[in-house]
Amino acid sequence: MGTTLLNAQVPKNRNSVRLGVDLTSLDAPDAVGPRYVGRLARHFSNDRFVVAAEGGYMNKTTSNFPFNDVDPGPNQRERFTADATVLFDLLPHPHHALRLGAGLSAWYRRDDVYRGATALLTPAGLPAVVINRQKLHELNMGAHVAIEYDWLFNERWSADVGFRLADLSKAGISSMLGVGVNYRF
Amino acid sequence: MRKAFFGYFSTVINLLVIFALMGCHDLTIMERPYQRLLISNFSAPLRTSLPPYNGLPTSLTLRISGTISKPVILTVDQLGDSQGRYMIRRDTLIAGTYTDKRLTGDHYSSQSVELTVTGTDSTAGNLIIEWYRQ
Repeated sequence: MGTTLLNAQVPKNRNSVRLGVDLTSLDAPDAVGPRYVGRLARHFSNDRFVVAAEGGYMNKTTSNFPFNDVDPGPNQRERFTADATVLFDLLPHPHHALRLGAGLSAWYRRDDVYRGATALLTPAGLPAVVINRQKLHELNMGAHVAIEYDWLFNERWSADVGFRLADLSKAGISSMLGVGVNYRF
Repeated sequence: MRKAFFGYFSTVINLLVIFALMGCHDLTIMERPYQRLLISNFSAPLRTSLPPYNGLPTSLTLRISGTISKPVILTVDQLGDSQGRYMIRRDTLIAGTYTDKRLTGDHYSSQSVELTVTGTDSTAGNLIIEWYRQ
């Protein structure tokens, strides 16, 4: 009984690897899409603490309305993400974990976005259009908070669902709603 | 086991310290505002400008695609400098078809630059010109 109360999830395997997908919002209202994530974690103190390093990739292309019937081209946003997180399990249960966490984020972005346009108009038509666009390659540093629920349905396998907020300085605040599968070894 | 614990733990701590030392700042590798001009009528000169560059560029590039029936002149002027307005480059496109023709040269000023595209009333065809500093 005492052991059950002290332990969180099953403590036999101290490491885990996770594959998941997060629905992630970026710095524009329509820039929401899947971010594919891989995570390596180490479990401490009978699984009470988890220290995780995570890498991810996201590529989101959105279209723009035509400017005077001229296509200004799409907005392309690409992210290579790295996060380090410390998580604490609140539940004294061998198969279920509710973790709160916080950590640091470093996201590299490659954007090519539409910024506006000007037109030269005549009664006869549209002789010329100038499309303003911007390419930006930038490393954004910031911090994040996370909450996740993890169900250990097997000695080695678990499934989780979680929510995360990351403040990435110039790249703004990103929110993530994700699911994943973990394997312990 | 204890050694493995501390090995892993120190790696994560080092990672956190590196992030913290970077001060949660942004590191801009490339910030390139650029313009794409789509021209189908050359009866009047087209003027457009790029705003002041954030930083110091090293080159100015024009990429040209399209077909024209008569020569078209491209002129790039620098604006707002203590030396006043002056011409950086002038290129004459002879009639014909251009496929991603690249015109590039050194450019070390962060001031605004203006591109003027000049054809004639009788110039037919269309051009797509993309231009930027970096």
